[in-house]
Amino acid sequence: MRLRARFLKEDAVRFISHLDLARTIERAVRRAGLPIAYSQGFSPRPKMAFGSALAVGVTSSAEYIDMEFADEIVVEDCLSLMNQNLPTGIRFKEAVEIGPELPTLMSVIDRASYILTGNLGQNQDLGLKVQRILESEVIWVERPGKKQTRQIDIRPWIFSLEVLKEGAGVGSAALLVQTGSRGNVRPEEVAVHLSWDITRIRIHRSGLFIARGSRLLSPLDVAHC
Amino acid sequence: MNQQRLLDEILPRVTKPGRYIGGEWNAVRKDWNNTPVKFALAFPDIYDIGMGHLGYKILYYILNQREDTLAERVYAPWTDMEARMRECELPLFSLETRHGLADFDLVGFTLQYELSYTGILNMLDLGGIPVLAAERSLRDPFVVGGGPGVFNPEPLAAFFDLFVIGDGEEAIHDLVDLYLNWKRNGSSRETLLLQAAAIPGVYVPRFYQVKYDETGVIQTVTPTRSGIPPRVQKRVVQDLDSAIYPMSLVVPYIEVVHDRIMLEVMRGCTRGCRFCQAGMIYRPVRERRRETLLKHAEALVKSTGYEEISLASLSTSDYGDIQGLIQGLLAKYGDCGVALSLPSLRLDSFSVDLADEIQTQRRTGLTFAPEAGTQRLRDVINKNVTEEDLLSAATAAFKAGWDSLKLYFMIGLPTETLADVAGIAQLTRNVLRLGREIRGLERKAGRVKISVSVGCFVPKSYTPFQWVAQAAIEELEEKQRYLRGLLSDRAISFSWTDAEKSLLEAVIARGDRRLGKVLYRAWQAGSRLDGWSEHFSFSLWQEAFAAENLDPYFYSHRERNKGEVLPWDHIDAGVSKQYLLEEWAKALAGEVTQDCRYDGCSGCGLCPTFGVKNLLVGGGHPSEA
Repeated sequence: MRLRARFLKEDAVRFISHLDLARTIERAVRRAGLPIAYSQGFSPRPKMAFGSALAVGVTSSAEYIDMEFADEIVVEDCLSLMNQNLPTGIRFKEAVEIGPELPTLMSVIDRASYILTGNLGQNQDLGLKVQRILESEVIWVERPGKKQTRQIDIRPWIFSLEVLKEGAGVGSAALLVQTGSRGNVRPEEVAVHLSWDITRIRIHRSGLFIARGSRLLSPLDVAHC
Repeated sequence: MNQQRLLDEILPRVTKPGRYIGGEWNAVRKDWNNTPVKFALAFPDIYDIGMGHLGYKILYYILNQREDTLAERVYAPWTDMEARMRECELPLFSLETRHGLADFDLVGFTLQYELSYTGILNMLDLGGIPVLAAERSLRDPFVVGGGPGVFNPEPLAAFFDLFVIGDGEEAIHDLVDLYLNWKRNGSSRETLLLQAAAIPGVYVPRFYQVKYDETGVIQTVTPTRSGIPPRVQKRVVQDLDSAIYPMSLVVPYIEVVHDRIMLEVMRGCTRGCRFCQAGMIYRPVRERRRETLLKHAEALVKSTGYEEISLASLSTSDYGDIQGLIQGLLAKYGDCGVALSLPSLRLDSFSVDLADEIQTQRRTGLTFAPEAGTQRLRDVINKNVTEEDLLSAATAAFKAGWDSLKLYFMIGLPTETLADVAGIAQLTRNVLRLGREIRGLERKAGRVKISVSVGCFVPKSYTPFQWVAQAAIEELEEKQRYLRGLLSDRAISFSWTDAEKSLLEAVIARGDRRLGKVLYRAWQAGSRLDGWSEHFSFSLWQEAFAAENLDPYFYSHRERNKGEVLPWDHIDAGVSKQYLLEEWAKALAGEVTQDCRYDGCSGCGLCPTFGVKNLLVGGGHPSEA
């Protein structure tokens, strides 16, 4: 049976990479004694697949994973067994059973929302900078490629950006962008355009979605469709 | 600024911040204020290396089992992290509760590698502990050393309060008990050290005086107080089978070396390779029973969730019940995604068959260590394998489907000539030809790859070669060039170790107390993490030697007189000097010595002196079973 779950990656583990996280969850599954299915072949791998990888240093309340089990399991049992066996900072929040034909997370997730928070420094007007970004027709960013650095316009992929809080030298903003194989914006690229020192701000992923027309569905929503 | 805010600032700017966060599964966080004894287990290299160390896994578990003690881990920061820490005046901290190193009662360092020694000085300094033992006061922790390096601790004598010689499982309890008692009575540091010196296996360097003659050779090493033993015998845990073994291991987030369950199947090795310190100092051989090991494995798989179990020891194919153990483990874990691995393979087809049975190593290739290129030289070093052994092991491996093999050799061994060096190339080419022949039957000759890794011989204390001169740098480099020429082939990859590093390793491995000043100076000039080529600077060390008016070649390149007092003579590893001298004489005569596991006592002197014996689970030679 297949299961899709949402989990948190909190402060305590924000500095571990995506691969570290995957390994940590694999080992937790084994400790939990859950009947995870293994791939065939010379070195069998547990059948688990993630949504979109999270950058080192970023926390999230919207990480998703699909897991395949060799036996039937009770969803609630799976959640509590996982949580008993995961280190502080990784928490499974909810899960649903999904059909064998449901497309993978990776292939359908195309929107990500973030919250950026940090010291504004002197003379910063966050509202104005947000406005400027929204009014721009193009926003060029540099991405290092295999051979050379590429210039990419990320403006079409920024769907919304708004100030959540501003005052006492601290501000925060909410961001909704395109993610996945058909275009991807890194939140730190937007932060740079807000003149934020990216080593001094905190980035939190608040959601991963699948766009259906003007609606945003969560990966758990689509499981029911 | 508080520590958390500092780390929030620093960690996004350093490489691999996951090294510094702690909080891993099975990490033990105890109530700091209500635990009387606080023990830091400090490893003088970065997290990625230190987390693989079995000895500390054992001690961490043992200490944290005690209600009155907490043990926490401390690793060396990488240079970028160190720079930030110094900039922000953030002291070196433990991963569990982030206490500064100076807040602990006892700070242990394991001495695994000579080139990590300046890292110890650096960690003490970063942790706010006076680097020199003589400058520590009642406020400061006691700095304790352990591990193989204690079989010549003298270069570190000035920096350590005490050393524990030999197996730590029991000695660590003696030390903590003593500390508790001392703390209750509130007496001086010296009182504790005097009492510690009475614990078997504990060496307190400040209670010994070393006198040198005008040539710099040691004349005498004598205790300066009554009641201090003239020689400190190593500790031996005779009944390893019932000795405590960790039932849980900290499971790291980031990738580290040996990131798997290590099942210590036995301790010690009796093959008697004459260059090998581990083979001498960890005697006698003590094997754990299969049932014990299966129990350990079961507990560890459950508590860690690891996907691999490694059968750890100095020579796992020698373990008496190896087939029974492997079958037992495969039966239990073969179908649930837990793989087995063998870290060391003896050179025979039996070992290849074992590797084939457990299969996981096909990914990485098999490693064999003939050590020397000719039979003559293999007899000198008592590496009791023949070219036929290697070829039959290689044949078995190629037939079982391996395409790549790794061969490990040394250059600079005693009595070595260019013919022996050429022998390395000859042996390699014979293996390559064999591989092409056998793999060619499946039209895979083109895939055959041989990696040849050649280290420089470093003479170590408590080996039959402890008296010999190490080859000079120029000679080692000349031989490396010669080999590179002989091994040029697309199917052969050749790697070698840095001769300058090997020289320094040799100097420290057989150095005396005077080297402490060189270590101190080199550290102050910036030496740390010297095991990492990007940080190693030989010229910095040369300057330190010159400034202290010491000649590194006095330590590395000078053949010792048989009667000379050696800096480590007052440490007793169990094997007698008489035995080591006889082995050296036999080496020069090209005579071999058999393994006492199979062929009767070789007279090393350990068992009668210590009242111990080999503890074997099987009967005869496993390959004859």
